[in-house]
Amino acid sequence: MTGSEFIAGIFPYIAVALCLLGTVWRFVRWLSLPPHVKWTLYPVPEGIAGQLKYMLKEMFTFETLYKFNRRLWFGSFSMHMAMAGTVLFFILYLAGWSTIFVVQLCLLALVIAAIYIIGLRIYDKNLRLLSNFEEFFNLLFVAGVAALGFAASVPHVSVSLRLYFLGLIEFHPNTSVLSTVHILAVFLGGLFLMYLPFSKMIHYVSKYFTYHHINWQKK
Amino acid sequence: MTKENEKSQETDPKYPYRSEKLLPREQRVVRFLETLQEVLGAKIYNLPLETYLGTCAKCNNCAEQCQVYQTSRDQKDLPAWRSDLLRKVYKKYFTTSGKLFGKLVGAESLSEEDIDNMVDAFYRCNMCRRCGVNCPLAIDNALITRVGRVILAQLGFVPTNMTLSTRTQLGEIGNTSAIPKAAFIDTLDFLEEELRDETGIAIPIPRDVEGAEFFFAAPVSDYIMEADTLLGIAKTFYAAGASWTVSMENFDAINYGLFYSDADLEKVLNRLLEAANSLKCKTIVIGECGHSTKVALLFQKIYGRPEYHGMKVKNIIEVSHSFLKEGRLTFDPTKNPETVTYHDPCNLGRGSGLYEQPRELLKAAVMHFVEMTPNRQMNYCCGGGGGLVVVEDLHDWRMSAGGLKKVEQLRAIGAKLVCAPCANCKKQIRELVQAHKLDMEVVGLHDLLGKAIVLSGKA
Repeated sequence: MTGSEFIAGIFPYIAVALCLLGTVWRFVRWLSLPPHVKWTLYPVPEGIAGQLKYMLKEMFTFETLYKFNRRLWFGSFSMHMAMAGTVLFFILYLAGWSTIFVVQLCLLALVIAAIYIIGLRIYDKNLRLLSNFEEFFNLLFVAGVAALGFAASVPHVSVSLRLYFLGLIEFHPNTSVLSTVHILAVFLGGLFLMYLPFSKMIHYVSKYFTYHHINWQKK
Repeated sequence: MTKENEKSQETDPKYPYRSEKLLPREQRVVRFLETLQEVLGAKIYNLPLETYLGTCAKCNNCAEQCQVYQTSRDQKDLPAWRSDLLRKVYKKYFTTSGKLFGKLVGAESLSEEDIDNMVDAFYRCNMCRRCGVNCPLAIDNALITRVGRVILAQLGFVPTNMTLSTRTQLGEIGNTSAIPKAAFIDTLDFLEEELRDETGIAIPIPRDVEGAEFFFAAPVSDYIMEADTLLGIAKTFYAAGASWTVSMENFDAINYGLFYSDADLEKVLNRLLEAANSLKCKTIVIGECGHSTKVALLFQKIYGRPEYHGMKVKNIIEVSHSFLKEGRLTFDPTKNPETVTYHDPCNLGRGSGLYEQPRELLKAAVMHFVEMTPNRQMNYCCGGGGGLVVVEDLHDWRMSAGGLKKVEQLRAIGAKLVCAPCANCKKQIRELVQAHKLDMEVVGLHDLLGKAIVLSGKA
């Protein structure tokens, strides 16, 4: 097995497994921590429906950031929506319900949004003070993965990305169809997935605990 | 060590009112890390601290909600920067990534200068929790500030007024203002006389009544400074026909442990619970005081002894509000013709969820009620929160960066009376009113209820 075959044929499974395991580990660890001080922050949204409404609104509008930090909201909202759009439309593309063009648009938006936030973190004196290497590294990582993904999606070589990913899902990937740029994109994307649950970007899990287990505890 | 050096270890000249019996400088880093390790291992903190310290996105949304930063525009008042002082140390010593990658992941070794910075920063935060209301990741910088203060107290950095008050409270006298029992009895007698003179009715302030429904404890300063609040509370209990009592042994609800020490918080809290238990009272009612309400509500089942877990804890506002809803109180609002506005004490609002009850009471008892903007969960702190109201060297800061947003709010509303049902808020806002020459008066909620309450046909 060559290095390219390993990256295209084996590595994606390792990356996805580590991402899932890491996420589950963080979730279970936080869930298992003993009961703590009821540091409730009032008002608490009423009932499960109220809490769900608050969370969905926050997830799909980033309202808290919109109200107080509009410049960052523009970048952060765009970046997260582009990230979600990339995943969603890529799945639809694999299912045959979307074209690769929509995925490309999302990837492009992701690159631009990440670079915009990097610029803002350099330009804004307060964000500059608060940012360290990790913040820039994470954003560059996102931009790099998206840029390579975009490059790999441009049909400059006569291969079918769709067939490769469908093969991955069916556990018999055809690695011979991929070019160097594809291999690089798969490799960087895999590294990102492995890094995600162990970085501070784990906030997609921590938010559940900081809202539901801390802020929204009842008396 | 020379006598001069010995003396220099007692207090830090830079922080004369925030330091006592300081550890020698060279021992502070080690003690700090030992204490941080203990705190991280404490079950009450591990989930919030792990999530708060590990996942902040540094979006700086907190700064735009922080009234101190909004006024000072000093980067040292950025809540995320302040929390980062502790976060860097946590990452460096207690996370794998911090140990491996150091500054690359924002982890930094602790220095004596860092500790100096924390003494300044953690006492420029009034722990109002306003910054947490719109944090996208629901991170509460006030808890980080509290933990920072708890650690600093172990090095000797702690406001002397707080520790002195707590020592007095835990000593033989048993209250933070060092009021002897005989003087307290005189005060209660005097208050009863006032009630009789004013209403023509013998309204009692019951003492050590075993089995009373409500065990009442106010911040002891109310007995010296806020007689009208206490008179209003006595009238409310009387009008509602409730059985209540104050304890002759422990009548002080203040618990400054909330601001610097879990150990002291626990001792003071258990004294209070013990007093209620010894009188076989099932419900503890805290007077008009934000922080002591929060301590009793939040920590009763954590630090209170198991035999006290069955007691209920309420703030007097909840009790009076339930009397109103049950039809046990009648008011004549014409007795309060002035325009009144309401200040949400942080520990009663964001900390305990008492937003609507005081407003409903006020609307029943006054002619003209007006709302400040913003209010409720976005209300501005009085500027003396987090115990800063008792820190002497912060007086000028409280009148400026700490409280200026509150002043602007008060000035904009132009009410004659501002109702602040919290002893610390009352003190701070009175000082703000005086310093900024505002034409208004600060009152408690029960001051107004007491004036308007209808007693046996007499208003």
